[in-house]
Amino acid sequence: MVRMKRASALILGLAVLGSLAWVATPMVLIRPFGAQTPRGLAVSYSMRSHGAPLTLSLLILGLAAAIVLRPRLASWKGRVLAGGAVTLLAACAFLSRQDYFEWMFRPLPHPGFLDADQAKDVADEDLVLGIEVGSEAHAYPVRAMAYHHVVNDVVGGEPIVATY
Amino acid sequence: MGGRTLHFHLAGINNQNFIMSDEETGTWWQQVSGCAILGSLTGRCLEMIPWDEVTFETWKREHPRSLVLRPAEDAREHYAAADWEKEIAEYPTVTPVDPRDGLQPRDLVVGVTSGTVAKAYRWTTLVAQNPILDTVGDTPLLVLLDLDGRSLRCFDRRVANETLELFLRRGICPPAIVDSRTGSEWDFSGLATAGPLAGRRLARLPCLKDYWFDWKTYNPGTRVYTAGTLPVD
Repeated sequence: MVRMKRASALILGLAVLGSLAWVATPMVLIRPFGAQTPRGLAVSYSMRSHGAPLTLSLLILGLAAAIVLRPRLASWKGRVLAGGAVTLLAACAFLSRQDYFEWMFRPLPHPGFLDADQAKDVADEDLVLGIEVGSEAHAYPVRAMAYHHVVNDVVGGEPIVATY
Repeated sequence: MGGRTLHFHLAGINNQNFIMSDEETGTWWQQVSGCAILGSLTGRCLEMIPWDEVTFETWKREHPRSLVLRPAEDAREHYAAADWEKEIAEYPTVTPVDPRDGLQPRDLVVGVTSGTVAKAYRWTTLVAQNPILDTVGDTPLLVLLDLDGRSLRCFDRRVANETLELFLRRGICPPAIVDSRTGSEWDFSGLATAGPLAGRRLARLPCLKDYWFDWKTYNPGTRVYTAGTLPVD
């Protein structure tokens, strides 16, 4: 019975470590104001693209270990620890499904537009990115683009992406 | 891309140039090049469409019916302040630049490529000398600021097999870009508006206003333009 308890605790602990490492490594490698290498980017890409199924598997594994562990934990400390571990696993599974860069810079999934004389937020001397396709012209104020960075749009029937 | 419309998201950063991913394939794309660097579309590049980085005033003058991106109510408070470039200029950089280039990492440049040749023009040189005449690879180039001092465009300065020498004539109001052989006047859109060449148009060339460190990272062989002699009015 003691062996079962130890094995479950070990599985739970390893699942947490693995999941944390999997989620944190790309965060560290592609952090702003850090230098990136092609190898680091490739590792980050690979970890990010496999993160969702992997962290979910570790969450299920950890949850199973915690269920086995639960009746064998006499102290409240052990229960809190096991609960915390499962919470961490759930947080990792959640984070691996999130584009956290879009938490900092919220996207514009449905960009709206104004006539030029209605654009009161844009001063005459402000810079804009402008494109014209056929007879249609769209301007993207740089002060807004420096926040959103990416705007998916359709101009003159052409799907485009404006970036800054 | 291959008959499919991709939708892009901000997904990361690569030496201070951002990475975007597309919803459809999850491929990672480098912003500055528009090329896929990791994932199933690696090696493919988005088609660059002609764009402008000009003042709102210039844009409205040339495109009075243009639509303008509406500020997002939930994001408006985060939009950059009018003088945000000053703040950004203080941010650290992470890629090495060669001190022999004589530029600081955050110096603004105008970058132009032609074939395998890349050249950079200091923003301060352009402001002082506007316009800049140069040749990049085989292409005679005109780098032009509008009279507002902020709106930028680049042109091929060949018209009908002739390479034009253009300068800013300040003695007239408003000042105009004039070519030295015919005296024709050219506007910021590259159109000759008066003189023997009236109605002719210079072809646009893509050029990018960028920080030196970023331009240099993606165009490592870039030569930096040094000011030549100013054509005399």
